[in-house]
Amino acid sequence: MSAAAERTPSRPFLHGVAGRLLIGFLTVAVVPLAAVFLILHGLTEDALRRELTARLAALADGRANQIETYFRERQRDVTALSRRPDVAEALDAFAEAAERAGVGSGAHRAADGRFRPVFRHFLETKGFSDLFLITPDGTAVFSVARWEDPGSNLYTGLWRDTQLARVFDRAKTLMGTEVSEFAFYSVTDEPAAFVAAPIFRGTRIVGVVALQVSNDSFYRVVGDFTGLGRTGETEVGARTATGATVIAPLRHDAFAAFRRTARFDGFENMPLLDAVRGLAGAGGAVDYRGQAVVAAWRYLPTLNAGMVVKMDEAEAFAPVARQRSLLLALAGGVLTLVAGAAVLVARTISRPITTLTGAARAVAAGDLTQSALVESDDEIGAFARTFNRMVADLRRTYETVEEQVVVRTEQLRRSERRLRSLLEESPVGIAVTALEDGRCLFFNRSYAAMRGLPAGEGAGEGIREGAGEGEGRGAPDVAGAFADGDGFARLTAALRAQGRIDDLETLCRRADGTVWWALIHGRPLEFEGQPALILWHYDITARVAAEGALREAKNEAETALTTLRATQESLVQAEKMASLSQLVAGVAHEINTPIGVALTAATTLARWSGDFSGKMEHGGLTKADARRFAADAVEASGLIQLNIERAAELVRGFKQVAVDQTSAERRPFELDSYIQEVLLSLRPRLKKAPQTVEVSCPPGILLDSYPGALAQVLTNLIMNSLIHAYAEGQPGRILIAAEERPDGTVELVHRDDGRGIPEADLKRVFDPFFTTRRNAGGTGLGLHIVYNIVTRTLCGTIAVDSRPGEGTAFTLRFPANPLPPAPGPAPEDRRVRSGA
Amino acid sequence: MGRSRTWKLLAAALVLLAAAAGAAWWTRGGQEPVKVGILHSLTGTMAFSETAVVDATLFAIEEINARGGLLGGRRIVPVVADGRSDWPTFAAEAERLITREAVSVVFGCWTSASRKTVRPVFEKHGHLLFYPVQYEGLETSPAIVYTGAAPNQQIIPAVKWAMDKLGTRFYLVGSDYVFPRTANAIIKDQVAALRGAVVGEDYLLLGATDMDAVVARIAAAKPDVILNTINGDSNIAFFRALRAAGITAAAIPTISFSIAEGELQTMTVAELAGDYAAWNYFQSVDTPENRGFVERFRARFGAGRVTSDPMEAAYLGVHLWAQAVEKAGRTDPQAVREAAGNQSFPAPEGVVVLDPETRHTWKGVRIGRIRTDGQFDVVWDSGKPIRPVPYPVYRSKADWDHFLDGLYTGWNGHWANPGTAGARP
Repeated sequence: MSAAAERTPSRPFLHGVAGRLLIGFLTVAVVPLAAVFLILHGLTEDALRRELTARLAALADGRANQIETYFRERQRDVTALSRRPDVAEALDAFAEAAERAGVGSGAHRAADGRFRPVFRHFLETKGFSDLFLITPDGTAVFSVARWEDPGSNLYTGLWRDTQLARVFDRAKTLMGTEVSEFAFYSVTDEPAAFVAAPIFRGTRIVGVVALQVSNDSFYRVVGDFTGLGRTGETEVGARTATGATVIAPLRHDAFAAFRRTARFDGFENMPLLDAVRGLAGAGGAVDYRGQAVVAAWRYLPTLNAGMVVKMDEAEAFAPVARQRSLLLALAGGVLTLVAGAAVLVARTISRPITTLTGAARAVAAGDLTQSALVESDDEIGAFARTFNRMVADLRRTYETVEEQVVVRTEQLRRSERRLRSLLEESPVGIAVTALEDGRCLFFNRSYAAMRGLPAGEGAGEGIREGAGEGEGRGAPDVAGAFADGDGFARLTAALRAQGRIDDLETLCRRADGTVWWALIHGRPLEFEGQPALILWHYDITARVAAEGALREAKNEAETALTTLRATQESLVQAEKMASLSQLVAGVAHEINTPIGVALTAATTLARWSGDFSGKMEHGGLTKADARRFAADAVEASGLIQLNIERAAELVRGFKQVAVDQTSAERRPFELDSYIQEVLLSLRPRLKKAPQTVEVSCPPGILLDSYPGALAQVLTNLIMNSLIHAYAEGQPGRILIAAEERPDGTVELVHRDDGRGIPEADLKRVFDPFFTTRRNAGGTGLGLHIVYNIVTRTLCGTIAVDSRPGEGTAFTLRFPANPLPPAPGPAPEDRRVRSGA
Repeated sequence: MGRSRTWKLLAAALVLLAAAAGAAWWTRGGQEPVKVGILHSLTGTMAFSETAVVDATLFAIEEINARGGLLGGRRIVPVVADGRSDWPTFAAEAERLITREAVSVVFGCWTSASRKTVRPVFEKHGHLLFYPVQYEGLETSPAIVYTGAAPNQQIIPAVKWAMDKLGTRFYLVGSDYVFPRTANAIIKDQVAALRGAVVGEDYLLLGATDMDAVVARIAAAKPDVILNTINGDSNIAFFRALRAAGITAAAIPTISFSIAEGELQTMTVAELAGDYAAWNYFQSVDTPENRGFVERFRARFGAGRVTSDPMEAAYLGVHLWAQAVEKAGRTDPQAVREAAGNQSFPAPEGVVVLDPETRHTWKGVRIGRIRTDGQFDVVWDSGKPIRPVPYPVYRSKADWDHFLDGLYTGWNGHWANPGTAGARP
C-alpha cells in the first residue's frame, strides 16, 4: 500500500474512536432517560388523567346538584305559593267568576285586576314566566302571561297533552308539588317546564297552581361554565323514543335546544344517551362536534333528563401534554449536553492519535527525522514518548547498517573461496557447463583425473552436438567424454524430458583412448548469472565388471533348476504309477477269490457232468442219480454266476478309480461313496496292516471336481500314515472326516493317532524330497504331490497339525465346484500350524 | 467460573421476582369474596311472597358475579337466612348475619313489622339494610335504603286515582300490623281531604282465613271501592269469600296494595280479573330494560316464573348497592351508605335514583288492572320518576311518629297485632 493511499482512509465516522465514544455516551444517557420518561409517562400521566376525570365527575355531581336544587327551590317556591291564602282566594274568585259569568266577564276582570299585580310580582322575583290557576276539573281560570287563553280545559282544550296538562294531573293525583319535564311547548312555540302544586283549603284540594319556569333562568343555570375552562359545557337532554334531544343551548351551539338529537342506534354522543337511560359515569368520548372530550354524565330525576358535563380533551389534559413536552425538552437538553461532552472528550483523545498516526506514516515512508509532539501526561503522552524513542532507535540502527554491509561482503567472499576449494577437492568429478553454448565453466580435479585431462583447464570446454565433432577438434569437452554417441544422446534426452539427469550409466573414453564406466547426475543451476548444468561423475567401472560375473552365475543356477524340475516331474509320474500298481495289486487280490470259487465250482460241475454222461451212456443212471445231478448242477451254476457277477462288479469299480487316477478328468461325483471306492482299492494293503481306517462323511455331498486327484490325495495320505505313523505291528486308527461348509467349500480332515511329526520337521513335510526314511526307500515326494494336487488341481489349501506322540492331522479345504485350474506356478503359501 | 455463577444467581433471582410479581398480579383479581346477607321468610305465612324476592336478589347477585364481581374481581357470596315469618326471628337472624357472618350488607324483609323489628339491630351496628317492598312510609333510617315505594309513590296516587275514576266511598280492609294500619291512616286523611268517605274499616290477623264477617260487613256497607292491604295468603280466602258473597270486580272493584303477579300465581285469577293494584312495576311494562330482565329471569328460573314489583325492587336494590360499592371502592356499610346517594340505575320499571336525603328511590307510579292471564293492564302511569316523600304532607312528622308510637305500645311492644302468633310456623 502506498503512503498516499494510507493518508486517505475510507473509514466511516462511527467506526472511529470519536464515533464510538459518542455512541457510548448517548447510549448511557438515553437508557436511563427513556426509563425515567416511560415511568413518568406511565405512572404520573395515568394518575393525572384519572385525577382529571375524577375532578370532572365531581364537577358533574355539583352541576347535577345545582340543577336539581334549582328546581327544588322552584318547587318550594310554588309549594309556598300554593299554601298562601290569597292564592286559594284568587282561585275561588276566578273560578266563581268564570263559572258564573265566563272568562272575560266583569267579575273576572275585577279578580284579574286584584290579583294580577300580586302574581306578576311573584313571577318577576322568583324567576317564572307564567302562572296558571286551574280548577280540579282542569279548567285554567287564570294566566298571567296568556290572559286571552283562560277558560280552556287542560284535558280537552288548548293545553291537551302538554307538559302543563301532565304536571297538573300529576300534582292533583299525587297531591304534591310536581315538576314537569322540559319539553317543547306548542302554545308558545318554545321549550318550557312547569311546576305545579295543589291548592288546599284546610285539608281539601280546591285546585292547582302551575308556574312556567323561566327559560332564561334555567339556561343560565345550565350555561354556567364555572370550572369548565374555555371549552367545557353542560349538555342537558331529554329521552325520546329513539334517543335523546338536547333541551338547552350549548356553548358551541346556541340554537341546539330541541334541534340537536342523538340516536340510540347512532355512534355519537354516547354519554348523553347513557345519561338519559339512567346511567352515570365518566371517561373519554366523542361529542356532537366530533371532538374528543372528557365527559362525566348523570341522570337528572326531576327533569327525567340526562346531563353531560364535558371538556375538550386537549384542554382537560393540557397538564398532561405540558408534562410530556417538559419531559421531552428535558430529555433533548440532556442529550445535547451528553453529545457535546462526548464530542469534546473524543476530540481530546483522537487529536493526539491523529498527530501520532501522521508521524508514524511519515516514518513508514522512510522519513526518520520525524518526532511526535508530546503534550500530555496520560497514556497517549506515554505512547508518543515511546514512539519518539522508537524512531530514534530506528535512526541509530539505520546508520550502523552500511558498515555492516562491507564486513558482510568480505565474509561472503571468503565463504565462497572455501566453497570452491571444497568443490575442487571433492572425489566426485564435478563439471559445470553453460547450457547456452556448451562451454565448460568449471570442472574440478577429480573430473580432470577421470577424463585424463591436465588439472585446471576447466574453462573453455563445452557440450557439443555430436561426439564426433568434439573429438575431431581434440578438445576435452563433455560430449567428447562419451565412448559412443548413445551416451550423450541419453543425457540430452533426460535433460529435455525431466530437466535433470539421474543415474545415467554410460561408457566413457579418456583422453588416452581407454574406456571407463561413469554414473552421471546432473542438475540445472544458475552459474555466475547464466543458465548452466552441473554434472557429478562417479567412476563405476569396477562395479559394472562385478555385475557381469554375477549375471553368469545366475544363468547357470537357472539351468540347474530347470533340470531339477524335470527330474521331479518324472519322479512324480513314477509315484503315480506306483500307486497305480497298488491299484492293480488290489484288483488282482479282490477278484481272485470269486474267480477261484467260480473256477472250483466249474471244475466240480464239469466232473459231475462227466460222471452223469458216463452213467447215462452206460445205462447205470438211476432216476435218483438224475435228480441229484440236476439239483447239484443248478447249485453249482448258481454259485458260478454269483461269483462271476461279484468279480465283474469289482472290476467295474476299480476301472473307475483307475480311469480317474490316470486321467485328469472333471466330473460330478458324490464324496462319501467315492471315498469308499478309494478305500476299496486300498483294501489289500489295509488288510495286512493292524490299523483300521474309518470314514465319517455325511452322504449327499456333491462335488464337481477332479475325482482322480482326490483319489491320489487320499491314497497318499493313508499310505503316508501307514508307513510313517506307526511302529511295526502297532495298532492304530485313521479317521477321514469330511463336511460341507456354508461358504461352498469342503473341509476334509485326515487324522491318525500315531507317533506324530517332530516340530522341526513339521515345516518341511510338504517340501519335495524331504523324507525321514530315505534308507527305507522313501522318495520324499508323497506329501509334496498331495500339496501340489490340493493347491493346484483342487484349488484348495492344506494344513498340517501334529503333536509328537499324539498323532497328526491334515486339514484340506477345497471348493466343491472349483474354477478351472489356472496355469502358472503354485502359490507358495504353506499353512503350517504348529502343534505347540 | 465464579463470574458465571454470579450471573446464574442473578438470573434466578430475577425469575423468582418476576414469578412473585406475576403471582401477586394474578391473586390481586381474586381477593376475598364479598359476603352479603339475604333475610326473608322462607317458611310461614309470608314465604308465599318472600321466596320469589330471594330468587330475584340471588339473580341480581349472579348477574354481577357473571360480569366479574365487584372491585376488580371480588365475587359476591350470598348468605341466606330464614326469618320464618316471625319478627323476633328476623331480629335474631339480622344480628347473626351482622356479627357472626360479618356480611357487608343485608337485602331483606317484606312486612313492615319485620323491618321495624330489625331496624334497631342495623342502627345499633351502623349497618345497612336494603328493603325492597312498598310500605306505609313514616320512616327514614340511616341504616335502611328503601327501594320500594313510599306512600306518595303508591297509596296516595292510587286513592286519588280511584276517587277520580271509581267513586268516593271506600271500604278499608287489611292485615292487623303496622303497614295496613298506617296506610289506612294516610288513606283516611287523604279521603277526608278529597271529600270522600270511608264507610268501613276492618283488620284481620296475619294468616287469618275466616272472612265471612268482614265480607258480610262490606256487603252491607256497599262501598264504591275496596282498598285492600291484606298481606300474605289470607288474600286467597278473602277474595274467595268476596266472590262467594256475590261481590264482583264490576260491582265493587278492589284496589290491592300487596297483590302482584307472584301472588296471582297462587290464586284463582278469574276471581280477581278486573280488580286493580297499584305498583311501580308490572311484568307487562313495555321497555327494553324490562323485556331483557323478564327474559333473563325466566331463562334462569324457568319459563313459568313471573316477575313482580317487590322482586324488581330487590333486583334494582342489589344493583344500586353494587354501584355504590364501586363508587366507594370499599364494601363497609358506612362508605357504601355515603356513596349510595344519587346513584341512578336503569331498572326494569324505568330509571330509579336514590334520594340522598331520605334514602328512598325516585320511582314512577303505575296503576294496573288485573287481566285474566294474571298480568296487568296499566291504566295510569306517572310518566316520570316521582320524588319519594316518606312522610305524607297531611300531618307533621311529629304527629306521624306519635301515631306509630301508639300502635307499638298498643301491641305491647310489637309491630304487629300479637294475635298473629297463630300464623307463625
